[in-house]
Amino acid sequence: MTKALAAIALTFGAWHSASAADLIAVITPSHDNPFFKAEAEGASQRAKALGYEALVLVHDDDANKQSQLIDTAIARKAKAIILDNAGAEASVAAVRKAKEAGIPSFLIDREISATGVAVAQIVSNNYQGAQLGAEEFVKLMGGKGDYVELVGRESDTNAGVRSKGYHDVIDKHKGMKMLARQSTNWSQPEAFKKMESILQANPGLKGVIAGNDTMAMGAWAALVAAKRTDVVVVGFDGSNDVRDSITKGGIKATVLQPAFRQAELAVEQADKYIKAGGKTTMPEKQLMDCVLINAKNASKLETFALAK
Amino acid sequence: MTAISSRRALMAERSARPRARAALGHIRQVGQIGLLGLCGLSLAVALAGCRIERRDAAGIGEATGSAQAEPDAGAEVTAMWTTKVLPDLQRRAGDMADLRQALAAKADDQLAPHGQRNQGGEGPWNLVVKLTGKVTQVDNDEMALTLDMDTDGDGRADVQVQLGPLLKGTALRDSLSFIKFSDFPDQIAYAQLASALNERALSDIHKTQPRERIAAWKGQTITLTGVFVADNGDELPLVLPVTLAPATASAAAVTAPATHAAAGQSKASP
Repeated sequence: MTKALAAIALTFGAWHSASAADLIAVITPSHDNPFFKAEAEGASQRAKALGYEALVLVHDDDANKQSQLIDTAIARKAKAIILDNAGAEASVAAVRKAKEAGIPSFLIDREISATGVAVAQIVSNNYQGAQLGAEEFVKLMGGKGDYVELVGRESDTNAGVRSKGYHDVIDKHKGMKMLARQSTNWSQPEAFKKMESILQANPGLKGVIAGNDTMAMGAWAALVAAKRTDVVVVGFDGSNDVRDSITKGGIKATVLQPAFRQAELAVEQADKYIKAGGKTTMPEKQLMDCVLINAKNASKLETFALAK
Repeated sequence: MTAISSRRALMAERSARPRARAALGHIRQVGQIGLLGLCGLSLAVALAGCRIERRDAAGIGEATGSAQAEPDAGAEVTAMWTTKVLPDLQRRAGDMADLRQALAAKADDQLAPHGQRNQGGEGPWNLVVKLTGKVTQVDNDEMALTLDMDTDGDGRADVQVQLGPLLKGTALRDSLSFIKFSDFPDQIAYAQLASALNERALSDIHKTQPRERIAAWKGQTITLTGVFVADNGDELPLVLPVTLAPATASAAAVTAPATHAAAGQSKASP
C-alpha cells in the first residue's frame, strides 16, 4: 500500500516537474547544414528566454520521420511547434495532425502547399533574394558567358522560386548561356560530384549559380580541385562558410536569408498566440526580405544575421 | 472575405488547369485518340470540378495549391490593373518630402497610410510615392534604363527611377493594400504576380512615353507616381514608376526651381 502510494507520488512528481515549463518543439532538417542549425538555435534560445522548455528535433528531410516527430510533440503536449518542414506537399498532413491535436504550428523557411493549417508560415522573400543574386552573378560574368545552375530539392518550393528569380533576371541577358541545370538536392557532396563531371564536359564554363550555399561550397571545392578558381560562383543563404570563402576571394557572392531572426520571430509569434488563448493578429504567410552579400559587406555577416 | 474567397476560387481553377492538361497528355501518350480523348477531356473537366468542390466543401479556411500550378498572372493583372491597382496607388501615394521626413523620424503611423511592410511589421517599408523633380542623370544601360532625380531642389540626385527592361524588386506587389501572400498557393505564384505587375507598369508607361524619349530627359522636370522600398542600403531609393510624364510648368516651379547650377552634374551620393 505505501509502495503504491509512493509510486503515485513519484509519478505525480515527475509529471508536475515536466509541466513546470511549457514546451515548444523545434523541428528542422539536419543540423549538418549550418542554416538549419542557426534556425534551431535561434528558436530554442528565444523559447528559453521566454520561459519555455525547448525540444529540438531533426527530421533529416524525411516526411515519415517528421510525422513521428510531430507525434512526439503531441505526446509531450507541446504548446507550439516551430517547423522547417520536410516537403511542401508531404508536410500538410503532419501539420494538420498537430492542429487537430490542438497544437499550433509556426512554419519557418519553407512553405507547405496549404493555408489555414499552420498558424504562421514565415519565409524569406526568395524571389526578391534570387533576383539580387542573379543581378550580381550577371555583373560578375560581365553580362555574358556559359554557366550552370545547381537547383535544390524539387519537393521544396524554395528551389523552384529561387530558380525563377534567377532566370527572370539572367534570361534577359542574351549573352548568358545556360549549359546545364542540375538538381543536387541542397547537398554539398552531390554538388561536388556533379560539378566534377560538368567541368570535364564543359571546359569553357565561366559561372555557377547555386540555389543554396552548401551546393555553392560543393561546386567551389570541385573548381578548386580542377584549378578553375576563375569560375564565378554565387550561392544563396549567407552561411559563415560562404562568408569566409568570399573574404578569401573564392565564392563571389551569396544572398542572406535572415534565418536566425526568422526563427526568433516564429517563437515570439507562438508565445503571443499561446498567451492570447489561440489568437493571432499576424497574417499566416509572411515574407522576410533578403540581402546581397559580397566582398563589400561579408565581414559584417555572422550566423545568418548582418551587423548594422 | 469575399475578396479572399474569390481569390481562392481563382487558385482552385488555376491549379486545376495543368492537371487537366496532364490528364490529356497522358491519354495522348497511351496513343488513344478520338472518343477516348473526348472521355479524357470530360474526365479532366469533371476532375477539375471536383477539386473546386472539395476545396469549397472544406470550408474551414483551408486551401491547397500545387507548386506545379501555372497561374496566368498576366491575365490576373489585366483584370485588376485599372479597377484596383491604379486606384489603390493613387489613393495612397504620399509626397516624397513627407515620406522622407516620416522615415527619418521612424514615424510608422505616418507611413502606414502610404504603404506596407513585410516580416511581421519589422521589415522595410514598401511605399507609394508621388514626386516631381529634375532628371540629373540618365543611364541608358541596355538592360536597365535609369533616371537619377533631384526631388528636393538641392541639385543632388535623391532618387533613382528604374525603367527596365530589367525591373528590380517586388515593391509594387508588396505596397498594394489588397494583395495578401496568404491568398496565394505558394511563393512561385506570388512571385509571378510580382513580375507581371512590374511588366504591366513598364508597358503602360511606354504606351505614352517611348524609351528613346525618356532616355533624352536629362535636365527635364518630370512628375511620377511610383513605389519603392525604403531601405535600399547605401543606394538611392529605387522607384518603379506607374505613371510618368514631363511636369507642367506650375508643378515644376513648386518642387524643382530652375536655378540649380549643379543640376545635371553628376550622380550624387546620398
